[in-house]
Amino acid sequence: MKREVPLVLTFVMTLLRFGFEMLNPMLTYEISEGVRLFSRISFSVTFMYCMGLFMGLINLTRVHGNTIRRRREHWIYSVWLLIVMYGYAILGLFFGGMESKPFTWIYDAVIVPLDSTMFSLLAFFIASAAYRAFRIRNVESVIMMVVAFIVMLGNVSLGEVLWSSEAFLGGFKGLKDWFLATPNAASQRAIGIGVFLGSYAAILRVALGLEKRYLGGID
Amino acid sequence: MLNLLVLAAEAPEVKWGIFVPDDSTIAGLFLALTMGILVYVMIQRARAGLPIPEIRRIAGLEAFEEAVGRATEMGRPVHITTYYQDVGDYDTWAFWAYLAHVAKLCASYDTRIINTNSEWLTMTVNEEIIRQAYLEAGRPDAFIPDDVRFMSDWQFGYTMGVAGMIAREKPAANFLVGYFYAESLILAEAGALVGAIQVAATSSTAQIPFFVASCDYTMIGEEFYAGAAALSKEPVIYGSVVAQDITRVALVALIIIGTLLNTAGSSFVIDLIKF
Repeated sequence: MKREVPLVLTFVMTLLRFGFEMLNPMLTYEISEGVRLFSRISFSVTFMYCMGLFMGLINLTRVHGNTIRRRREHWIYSVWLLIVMYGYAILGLFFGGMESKPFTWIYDAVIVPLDSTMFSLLAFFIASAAYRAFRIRNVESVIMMVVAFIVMLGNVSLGEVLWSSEAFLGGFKGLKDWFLATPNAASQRAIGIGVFLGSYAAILRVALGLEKRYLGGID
Repeated sequence: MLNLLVLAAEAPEVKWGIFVPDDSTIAGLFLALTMGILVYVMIQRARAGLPIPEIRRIAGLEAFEEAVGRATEMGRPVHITTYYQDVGDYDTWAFWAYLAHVAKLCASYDTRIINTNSEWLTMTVNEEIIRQAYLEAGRPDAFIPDDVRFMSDWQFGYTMGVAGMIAREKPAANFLVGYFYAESLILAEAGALVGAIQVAATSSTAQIPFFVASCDYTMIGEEFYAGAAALSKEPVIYGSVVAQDITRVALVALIIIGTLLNTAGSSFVIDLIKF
């Protein structure tokens, strides 16, 4: 019973979702004036997430409270976590809301720079990954390196100076555009079709109850 | 005001009386039903013991066991993550097949498995899968709940957490399985820096180049889903992959016919797809 009920629910919800995507009377069906069945079902997900947030808050307080009480390793970080979590929530809830200056300032001055810093690390990681990937070991890596070199030159002004876009074949820029619009787009679409079919088969496996790992088992 | 405008706008005509008036609704329905029937037929063939084609060998899939074995020899943990996929996402369902496989291997080799998460509901299921694997291996006490970790639902908060964890705990194997965004390369390079053997499986076309550049094995596009089915080793699940392949051949034929007809000036196939 513990496994059958979720399987039946999954199948029914898959059919419902399929109906919402395909059948107009189902999509526009109103359970009361101005309230669609579709939006009400979607709301249940929002409700579940809100409950999860609340439970997460309680759980984090319990786990980190225990860490602080028992002076476990790195307990000071638990103190900091609770201060930040409750401090920021109290600031947002009781001191001018999410539009207040202190609330937005903390976001703009802390979260945004941290986000940008982490994102900017990508540039260095791209360089180190490219160094390893572009080492010439076989024919494929030679092709990859030559194409990458042309695309890079097509994107910078040095490429324009070396081989102008006004010249034969549109210069590096013309070649870059061709690489991106023709072989690259074709292979991306081929992968895209495969992904669509693969994901659809995965959905069917779950809907038909062949795949049951979402119930927590390993088979 | 916007509501008034919406009300004043003429409602689009419904297709065939009941279908949603969007492009490709009927074509999509036809494709969905065809593939559904094909899956059913292939599953019945598999159940009846009739022969169905084998799934070809996927190199990345075999690397999982090799990587866990190496981690066991080195006495270092294994890390597996799917970043931000919720429980209703088909990438998560495929990920669970890999997680179950890796957890089973780790449990039988008595190797630590670390799973990092960015989605709390997915984390709950992940924890259950890993716990179950240890239970079935007869080592329930070896399961460490603290190794199934929630990092952050904020993209780069999660990335910082995972990169930091990789630097501190130095996993010998790093499995990046699922749909990734800009964090993909940071996670993969963090693994490369500690010398981890890395296997990536993703359906995100934008992240494939990053994984190819920095991982030892990369499973791309539908290999990711087919691999999940292959791990189950159940002929019934293989059936769905065969149905998927037959549909793909039909779609390729349709693309070729459409290209030829369009070149000849007929938009028949395009109209059919948009129907």
